[in-house]
Amino acid sequence: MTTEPVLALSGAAVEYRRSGQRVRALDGVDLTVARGEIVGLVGESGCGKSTLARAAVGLVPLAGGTVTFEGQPVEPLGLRRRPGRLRGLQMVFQDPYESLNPRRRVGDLIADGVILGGGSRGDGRARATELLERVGLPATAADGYPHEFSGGQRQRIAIARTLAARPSCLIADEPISALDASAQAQVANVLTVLVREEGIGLLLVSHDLSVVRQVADRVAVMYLGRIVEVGDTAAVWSSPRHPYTEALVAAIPRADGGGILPADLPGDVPDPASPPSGCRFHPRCPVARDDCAVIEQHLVTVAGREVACHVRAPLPDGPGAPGEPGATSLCGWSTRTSSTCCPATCCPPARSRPPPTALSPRSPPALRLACRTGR
Amino acid sequence: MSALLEVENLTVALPTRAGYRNAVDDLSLSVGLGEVVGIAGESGSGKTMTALSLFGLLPNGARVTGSARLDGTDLLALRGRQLRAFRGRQVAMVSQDPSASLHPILTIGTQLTEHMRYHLGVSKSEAHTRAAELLDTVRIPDPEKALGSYPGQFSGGMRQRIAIAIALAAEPRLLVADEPTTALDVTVQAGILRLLDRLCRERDLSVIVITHDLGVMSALARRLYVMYAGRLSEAGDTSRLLTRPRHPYTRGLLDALPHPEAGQAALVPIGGTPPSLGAVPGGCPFHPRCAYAQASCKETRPEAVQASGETVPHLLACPPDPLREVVS
Repeated sequence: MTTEPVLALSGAAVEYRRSGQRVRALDGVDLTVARGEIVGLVGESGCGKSTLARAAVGLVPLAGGTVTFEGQPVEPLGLRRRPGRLRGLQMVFQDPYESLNPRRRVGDLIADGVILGGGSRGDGRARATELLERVGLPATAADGYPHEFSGGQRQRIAIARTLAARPSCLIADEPISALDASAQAQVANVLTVLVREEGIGLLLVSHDLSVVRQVADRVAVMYLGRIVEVGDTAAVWSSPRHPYTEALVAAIPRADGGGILPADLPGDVPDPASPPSGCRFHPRCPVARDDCAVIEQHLVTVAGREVACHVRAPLPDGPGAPGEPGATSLCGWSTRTSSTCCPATCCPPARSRPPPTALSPRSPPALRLACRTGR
Repeated sequence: MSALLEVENLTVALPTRAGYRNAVDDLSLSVGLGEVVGIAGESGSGKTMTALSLFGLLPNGARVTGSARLDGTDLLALRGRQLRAFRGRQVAMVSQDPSASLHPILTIGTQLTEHMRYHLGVSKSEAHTRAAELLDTVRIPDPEKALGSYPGQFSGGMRQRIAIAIALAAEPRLLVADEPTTALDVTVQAGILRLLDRLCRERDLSVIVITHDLGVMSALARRLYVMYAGRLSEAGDTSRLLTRPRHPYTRGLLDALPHPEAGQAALVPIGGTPPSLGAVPGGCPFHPRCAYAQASCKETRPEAVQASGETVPHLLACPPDPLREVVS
C-alpha cells in the first residue's frame, strides 16, 4: 500500500436544485483511497453515499472542494469526451440489469475499454476472454448477450468491463445489493481478489454493513451528507465511537439463531434540504446534549480513527469531555454524561423540569422527556 | 400450539415454453396461532409462488394442487365471492416494495379504510377512528394528518409501516410478509422487525416471513422452512437450523453470509447458480452444486423426512446426511 492516495476528496460538496431550493447532498467530505486498499462507505439511504460515488468519478459537478485522481483534478463530465488520464478511474454500478447494453455481446462490451485505450479490435476480444476468466466466467461468455446471465454473473461482467480500462481505482456503488446471498459472496470475493492482486484502490459503497465489514480495510460512515466516523474496519466495528455508527452496528440482525431482535434507531433521515442545526444527527441521537444543536461537529482523531461527535470524542482540551468535572449531562442533574447516566444514584426524584441551561436553543420534540431515563 | 394454517402437498405448476414445470413441488408446512414461521431460499426457489397461491394471486395458467387449510377452509378451493371474503379479512399480505404496493394518488386514509369498511361493515367515522389507531400502533407520528396524506409524502420505512397497517386493517389472522425489509435500511429494518414481533405477541397474529436474509429469520421466526428449486430441503426450529444445519444447502447459505466473528476470511459462496424453472436437475435438485453429492443423489428425488438423531421435529431432504457427524 502506497502512502500517496490514488483518489482523494477534499471538502467535496455537491448541490442539487429541487423546485428552486438548493439541496446540499454532500457537505464538505474528506476521504482518501490508496492503491490496494478497500474503503467501505456506509450509511442509510438518502445520506449521500451515491452522490459521493458519482462525484468521485466526475458524474456530477462539485459545488465546492476538490476531487483528485492520481494527483490530478477530476473534471466533471460535460459534453466533451472524458479525458484519457481519467480512464484509470472506473465505476461499477448497482444494477447489472441496466448497466449493460442488452443488444451487444458481452465480449464487445468488454473490448470497448481496450479499444478506447488504443488497442485493436482483436486485442479487445483476446483481452475480453482473459478478463472473463479473471472474474470466474468461462471464455465462451464473450459470445453471449447480457440477458443470458444471472444477476451475479452480469455484475461480474460489469466488473470485467471496468478492468479492460486497466483501472487504478474502482468506485463500486452498491455492487452487490441487487444480488442473492450466494451471488453476493461471489462478487465480493472477485472484487477483493482484484484489489489485492492488481493493487487497485476500491471505494465500496453499500448499505449492507456486514459485507463492508467483511471486505473493507477502512470504513467511512456517512450521515446526511457528512462523514461522521472513519477508521479501521475492525476497530470501528468492535468499538464504534459515534452514536450513529453504534446504532447502525446494533441494527444488524445476526444469523446465529439467537432469536434476538436488533436494536431500533427511531426516526428517519431528515430532509437534506433543511438539515438540523449543529450536529446533524442530534434529533435521533440517544446521547445528544443541548449544545449538540448549536455546535458544528468536525472530525476529531481519537484512538486511531476520526469521529465527529463532541460527546463521545471531545477535543483534547475542549469543554465537555466525559468524566471531567463540570461536564454537562443530558438531563442537567447528573454529573455524569448520559451514556453512563445511572438514574438510581445520580438523579434526584423527578420534581420539575431540569433547570434550563444556557445552551438550550433547541425546542425539544413534543415527546422528548426531560431525562432520557424517563424520570 | 394448534395449527392455524396447514399446507399439504402444495404443488404449483407454471406454464413454460417446455410445458408445465413445478415452481412449488409437494410442499407441506404449518403455521401455529401467534407463531412466526420463515420461508428462506434464493430467488427462484418458489418462496413467493407459495405465498401467492394462498391468495389466489398466481399468474394466469398456473395449476395448483394440494390444500392449504386455514381453520378447516381450503384457501386453494375458494373462488369469487368466497375468496374476496377471505382475502384481506383472514389472510393479508405485505409485499417487498412499499412504493409499488401503495396507490400513489389515493390518500392513506382511503387505502386504509376501504377494505376495513367492506369487511367489517363499520361506519365511515368509526373506520376513520380505527385507521388512526392503526397508524398509531405502527408508530406513524401524527396519525390524523397522515390519513390525509399521500404515499409520496412518506419515507420508505414509513411506507412499509403504512403497508403493514393496511394489511392489518381488517384484523386478519395470518399475515404473509414477502421480503418485508429487503428494500429498507438496517435501522429501518430493525424497527419493522420489532413492530412485527410486537404485533404477534399483542394480537396473536400468525406471520409467514419470506426472505433470503437469514439474519432477519434469526431475529423473527421461530421455525424455518428452507426451500430450494421449489422443494423443501430442510425445516425445523430456527435456532437449531442456524446453529446446526443438516442440509448442505442450508450450510451453504450460512457460509455465504458475513459473520461478525469470522474476521476478514473470504466469504464462501455456493458454487453455480440456482436452476431456472425449466431446467431443474433430476434427483436431488441441489446435487450439481453440492460438495457432498453422491451417485445416488442424481437418481432419486429426496423427500423431506424427520432427521435421524433429532428429538424435536426437524425435516431433512438429504438421505446421505453428510453433516450428521459434524453436528453430533
